[in-house]
This record gives sequence, structure tokens and C-alpha cells, in this order.
Amino acid sequence: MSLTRYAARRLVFLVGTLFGASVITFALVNVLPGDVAVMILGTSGSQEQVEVLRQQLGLNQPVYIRYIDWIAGVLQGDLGRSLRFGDPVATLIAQRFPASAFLAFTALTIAVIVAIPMGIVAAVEQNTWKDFLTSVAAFTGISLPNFFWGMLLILLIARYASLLPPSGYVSPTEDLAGAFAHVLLPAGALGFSLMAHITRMTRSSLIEELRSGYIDLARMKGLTSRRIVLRHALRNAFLPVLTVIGFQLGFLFGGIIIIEQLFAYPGLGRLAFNALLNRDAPLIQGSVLTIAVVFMTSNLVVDLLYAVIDPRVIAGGEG
Amino acid sequence: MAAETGTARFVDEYQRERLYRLARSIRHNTKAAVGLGLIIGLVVLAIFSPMLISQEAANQVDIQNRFASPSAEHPFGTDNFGRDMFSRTLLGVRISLYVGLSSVAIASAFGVPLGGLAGYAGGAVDDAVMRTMDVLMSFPPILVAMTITAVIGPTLNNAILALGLVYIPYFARVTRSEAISVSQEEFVEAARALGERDSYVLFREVLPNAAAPIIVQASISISFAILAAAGLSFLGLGAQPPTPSWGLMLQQAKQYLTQAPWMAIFPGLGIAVTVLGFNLFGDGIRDILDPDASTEFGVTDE
Repeated sequence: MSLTRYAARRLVFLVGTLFGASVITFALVNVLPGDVAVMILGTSGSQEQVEVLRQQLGLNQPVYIRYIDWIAGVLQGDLGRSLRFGDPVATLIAQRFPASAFLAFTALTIAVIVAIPMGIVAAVEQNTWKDFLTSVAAFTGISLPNFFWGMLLILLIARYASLLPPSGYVSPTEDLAGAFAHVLLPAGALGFSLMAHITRMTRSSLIEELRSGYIDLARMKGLTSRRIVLRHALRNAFLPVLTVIGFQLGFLFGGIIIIEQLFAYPGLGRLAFNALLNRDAPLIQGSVLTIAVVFMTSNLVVDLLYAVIDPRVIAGGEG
Repeated sequence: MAAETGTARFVDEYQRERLYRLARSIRHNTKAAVGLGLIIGLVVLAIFSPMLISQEAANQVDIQNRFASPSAEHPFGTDNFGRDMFSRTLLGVRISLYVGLSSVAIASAFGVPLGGLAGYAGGAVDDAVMRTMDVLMSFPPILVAMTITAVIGPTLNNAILALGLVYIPYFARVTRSEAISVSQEEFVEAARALGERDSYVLFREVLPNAAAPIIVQASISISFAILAAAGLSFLGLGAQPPTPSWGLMLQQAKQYLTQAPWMAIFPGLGIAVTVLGFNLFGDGIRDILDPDASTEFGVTDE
């Protein structure tokens, strides 16, 4: 199977999963107990007011009709209007999306830049104090919630050392330096566990590669250790690392919600969380679906990258 | 019937031998041994701490003594209500274990049979089950858990229910791949040849022999669930005040970070030790089961 055909197959598969995801998103808000009209009016609303609102929101129609209405709109880019803000959900999401993308991308970059060299050192100098220290750091990294790291960073770097601001957001298109100053702490907190996972995976897969026959051959040919590690072993060791990144993306996107809340960072996660608190059904559906779409697309990109690096994946057929 | 007891005895002995060997290996694997030691220590604390510290004492407000730094009287200091952080942190062990164990119990109660069925039956059943699991996995787990608790009501038990639901696919996946390989073993073929019912073969022979990787998944999922539940409580979508939950304590600590950092440090340490215990144990067991695989924290490179 060619790469194009593999990609096409995965894309078809993605459309199916997306359909399922839209059903779940809608069901989460509409099938679970709780009347949206009562939620909006609170206990103060009279029976008639609730009835009028139910009528306006179309809540008296059967749930599958409401789903079809919603999904028909979604397919045309209309996610409905926020009950709280009155603005179109799509507009609200589009406004907040860049901030979250910037945050997630910075977190991922920091994690990769720090973790891969750490993993290489730990693998090359296996069973030394450096390796041990890396292991301890990695296990600490995965054992604490990201918001704990966030609080620690706020305390140490923003409050005690006053090096970076503890909250807020500046758009990178307006002020690049300011944007990084604001994004570094939340991105660091968000990337911590990812960093730990990448470090461990780089270490273990590099150790495995360094044991294999082609490395011995390279040594016999007289290549330097540095060249062997960086040019040969690391290339192959990168595949499992890519898998771990793919696997961790869900935690990264999930972590955005808590981290944005902690750092008062105006992104999609904060929008989604406030929608949940306000029982803003259209906004909940819109933002949950958007996060799922981004998550699935990122997974697809990881899988395709994997296929480009290792063509055996395509030959395997399934996946 | 005679044939049935025959296979059953063989399978029982086989399983007992495997578990025995696993138990013996744990002693020789540092990660598994340290992890198990931590878990046992925490379970002991969870059982005995409520006998030593009453819930009322831990919730006792003492405004005169608020934000007291750690001292002999209050080893972990006091919080914004003057409550003793040491008592509250210790009582948090119990809540944390309760959350981790019960959400994983829910996830495995559904995920294991579903995955076993998919792997054993194959074909259309496999497709139907696994595609559904794929859809569930197309969301970041915490996002779905958050939405569910926000809709059905933010309580600790709802958070457990929600987390249990979002972890089902992880158990289904692990069980399925294990069930596929166990199904090809000779004793399973023998049982089928003897005309055992499918449900008997699946529940008595396939699933028990798929137990080890499920234990690994459970151990690692418990640590994920504890972290996620702390996150939910931190956002106000889990345990509610005055429950001594670590996530909730961290939420309160947030406002007084510079004033009383101990309010954050000790609950954080509690989370770290608990999560570390289950992570080390799961990781160690996996090393024992499969010494060659390059696997890390619940992910394989296959």
C-alpha cells in the first residue's frame, strides 16, 4: 500500500470516528439528566418561563431531531449561539483558539528540547549517576499533577524571583517577547509530564538500538560514538518516542483546561470550563467537539509521520 | 463433566504457577518491590489513620491559629481555617486510594469483558466493540470526565463514575490483544475441542490467563485516575469542602501560595507518593513480564 492510500484510509477512518465523537459530545450534554432550560433560569424561573424557553431552544423536540439540527449546522460551520454571551459559538472558539495552540505548541517544544538530550545522556551513560538522576526526575515528573507544577512555578519564578508574570496572555503577533514571557510558565507546567515520558522513552529505546547489530557494524567501520548515536541509533529510537508523544497528546490537550484556569490564560480550555460552569450547552458542545477534532487530527499527523519514517507500518496494513 | 474438571485443574495449576513465579520476581525487581512497599504502606495508613484522627478533628476550624507554619504541634502547619494540615493530609490517603481503586474497578469491570469478548470472538463483534472504544478514546479523558461531572453534578462519587467510564477503552484494548494471543494457546483449543461453552472458555480460561498485563494496566490507571481526580477536585468538579481531598486542598492553597506554601506542599507530596507507588509497581511488573519490550508508563511501541 502506498503512503497516499494509507493516508486516505486513515482519513476515511477519521471521518467515522468524528461522527461517533459528535454523537457522544451531543449525548453528554443532552441525554444526561438535567434540564437545560431550568439550568439557565435557575430556581427562580416560573413553570411558564421554563416552558417558553424550552420552546425557544427547541428542547421539546425529540433528541435525534435536535442532534440532526445541530450536526447539520456544524457541517456548515454553524455551532449555534452561546447562551451566556449571545455570540456565535464558532466566533468565540476562533477567538480563543490561537492562544491555546500557542500554549500547546510551546509546551510540546519545551518538552522535546529538554527531554531528548536528557534521554540520550541517560542512555549513553547508562547506570551512572546521571542516568539515575534522570530517572528520578522523570518519575517525579509523572507523579505530580500538572497544576501542582504550575503552582510551584508561580511561587518560585513569578512570586519569589519575579522573573515572569504569573498569569495572563499576550498575542505573539503583537509582542513576541511579551507573548513568550506569559506562555513559558503555563507551558512548562503543561509539558512537565510529557518531558518525563519522552526522556524515559528516549532512554529505553536508544539503549535497545545501541545493542543491535548495525551499531556494532558501524563501530567496526570506525565511526565515532557521537556519530553513531546521533546519526544512526537516534533515528530509529525516535519511533517509540513519537508514539509516546502521540499517546500523551490527550493528556496535553486535557491538561490545557486546568492549566489555563490556573494561569488565567484566555484560551479554549478556559472557554470550555466556563461553559461547563455556566451550563452553556451550545458552547460546551462546540468546544468539546473542537478539542476532540484537534486531538484526533494530531493523532493522525503522528501516525502519518510514523508511516513516513517507518514504511513497515503501511506494509502491516491494519492500523 | 469429567473432561471439564480435567482441563480446569490443568488451567488452575498453570495459573497458580504463573502467579507464584510473578510474586517471586517482584522481590528481585527494585521498581516493583519499592512500588509494592509504598502501596502497602499507604493501605495501612488508609486503614488506620481514621482510627487515630477523627474527621471532626481534621475539620476543626481554629481561626486564631490560621496559616501557622509547621511546628511540633502542627507538623504540616495549618490552613486558612486553622485546620491541622497533618491530619488532613493523612486522611487524604484514604480518599485518594478510594478514588483510584473504585474508578479502576468500574473501568475494568466493563473494559475487561468487552475486550475479552472482542479478542476471543473476533470478526464483526471485534470491529463493533473496538470502533466504539476508538470513539471514546477520541477525546482527552479528563475532558469527558469533566463534562460528565459538570452535567450530572460535581461530587466525588460522580467524579469516580466519570473516570471509570473514560478508562474503559484502555482496559478493553489491553485485554483484547492479550485475549487474541491466549486464544491461540493449546489449552484453549483443547477446551473448545471438548465442547466447552464459549462463555466458559472466555471467562474461565482466556481471561484468567490474560490477568498479568491487566494488572499492569490497572496499576498504571490507578495513578492516572488519582491525578485526574485531583484535577477535577482542583477545578471544583470533584470532592466538595470540607472533604480532606488533596486536589481540593491544593485548590485552597492556590490563593495563599506565598503566605502558606505548606498548604500546597504536603498534599502535593501525598499525591506524588501515591502515584509513584502505583507507577513503579506497574512499571516493574511489566519489566518482569516482558523484559525485552521497550515500554514506558503504559505505552508500548507496537
